[in-house]
Amino acid sequence: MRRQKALKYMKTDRNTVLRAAELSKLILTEDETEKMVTELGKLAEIIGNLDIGDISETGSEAAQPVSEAREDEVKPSAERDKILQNAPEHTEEYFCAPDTFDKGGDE
Amino acid sequence: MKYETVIGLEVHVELASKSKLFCSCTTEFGGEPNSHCCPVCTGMPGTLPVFNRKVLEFAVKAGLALGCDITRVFRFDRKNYFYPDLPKAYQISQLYAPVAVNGHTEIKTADGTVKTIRIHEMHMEEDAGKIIHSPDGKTAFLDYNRCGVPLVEIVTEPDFRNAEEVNAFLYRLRSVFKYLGISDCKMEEGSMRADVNLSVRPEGSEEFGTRTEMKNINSFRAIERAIAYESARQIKVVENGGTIIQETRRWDNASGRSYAMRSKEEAKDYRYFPEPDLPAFHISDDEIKRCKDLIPEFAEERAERLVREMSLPEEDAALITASRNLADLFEDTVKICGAPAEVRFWFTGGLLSFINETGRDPEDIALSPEKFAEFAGLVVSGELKREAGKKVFRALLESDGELDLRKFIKENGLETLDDGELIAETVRKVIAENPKPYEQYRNGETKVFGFFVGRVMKELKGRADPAAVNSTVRNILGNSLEKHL
Repeated sequence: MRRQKALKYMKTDRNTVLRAAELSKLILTEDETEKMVTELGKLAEIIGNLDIGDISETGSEAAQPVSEAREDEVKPSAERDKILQNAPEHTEEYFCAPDTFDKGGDE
Repeated sequence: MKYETVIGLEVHVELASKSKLFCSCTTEFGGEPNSHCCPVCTGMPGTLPVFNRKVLEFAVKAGLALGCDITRVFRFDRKNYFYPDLPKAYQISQLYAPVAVNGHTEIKTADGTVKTIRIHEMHMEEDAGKIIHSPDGKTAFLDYNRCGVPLVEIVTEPDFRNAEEVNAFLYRLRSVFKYLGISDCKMEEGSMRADVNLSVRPEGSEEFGTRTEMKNINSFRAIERAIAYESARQIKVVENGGTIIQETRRWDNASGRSYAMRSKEEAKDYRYFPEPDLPAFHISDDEIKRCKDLIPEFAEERAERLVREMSLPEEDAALITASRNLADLFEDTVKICGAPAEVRFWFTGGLLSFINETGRDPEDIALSPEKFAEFAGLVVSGELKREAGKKVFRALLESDGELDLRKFIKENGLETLDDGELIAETVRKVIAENPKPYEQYRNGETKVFGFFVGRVMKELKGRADPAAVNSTVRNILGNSLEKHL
């Protein structure tokens, strides 16, 4: 319910685009911002059309619930040097990433 | 003006499943960095999470123990945030249909006041990794071993008014979770972490003040300090005509202060949405019943019962029931040997001081009730005197309950002595060896009497009946005194 309401009342104005850019870690130029306001506005309109139909009976609550779960068994983890290769930067022990000043995280 | 502090808690508890929430890597604490990782918990493209059944059992038990309603059809949701401790850039958590809601639990403060704390909800989620910051502040070194370890987050209503109530709740939570065997709740290892939401308001006011959230406070003592600091800070701001800003603050235990991390305007927008990689899960009535049947009697109720049924002093009952393993050992031993007073004597004196001295985890004490009962039986029947028994009991504990009691007693000559002649002989020997105290006694300093009794007991390795030694010492000293006169 909360999601449908959010869609219905969401206006794609300049502030919405700038907020979305911030969340996506994008820096937009003035031209790009204008373009996005128009294009995302059209997209939102199309998505807004979904409200026409009654979808209150669909969604995961209505779907047959499936309780596929696994047993609590430990299996060997990946070899460390192999898993570390998936990252562009790593030492012999750690993945590396640029540090941030906002010591947030750890939610 | 007088102010009232209003506090709500968000408590994260790591669950003790063997494997992670959505993959089969081990949840073991520590280990070489990134040695407990796989493509799933490091967020590689194309991998899919598979839910761990045990975590559901643990969460349902926790929910039931906290008086919650269990959500029959629950789902997971994605909480998006961009930070290096989270390789997927989202955490699988629960927002729309958490596993347990609307609970309550009772706490008891030091003055005996009982208060009900309401639980808003409890949800399951995965833990994040650990970041080590490079000294120059440019690189984050990432250890993802903790990534994907199952957590429950318990969110309370703002029902606390001071730090004592908060800690009473956390102690209760820890005790309940340990009794359920679902977490070790070690604050110092981070397996239990509390965030404190705090606001102040004039006493008597019904409206809430603006709250701040303090994150990651990792000891009971730190919680007390953080609450005292933050209440005082907020009251000062309000009294000086300022306004409290809704913000997240980080408690710094070293400086004893909290610092603003981010305000509401910069608050993270988590863009929650239902986790598409996991279906909805259904909990059947049978499953809930099975979990209900596995819920034990908890520490406080058990202590009350021991006081009632066995007339234990409250203090002893609290000590005995602090660990489920020890409480089971106590009750089973009493059941076998039928001598509660004797078992209590060795329990509170011998066993608990052994645990204190050696720093052993009470849950790891392997002494069996059968062995403990055999030992207590020897003392009750008089085959072993308490004094000599101390040495035997210590050896029994040190052997992890493996000691052959009779063999040990025999080999160390600790069996009870009822040889009156030997006692008398020993008394005479002790007097002869200690002419000075004897002299004192003869001069009327009767307080040295105890010295002779102690020496004789020691000489006889505590094997003799203290009453027999007492009267023998009295007789022999008295006789010699008469002779002397």
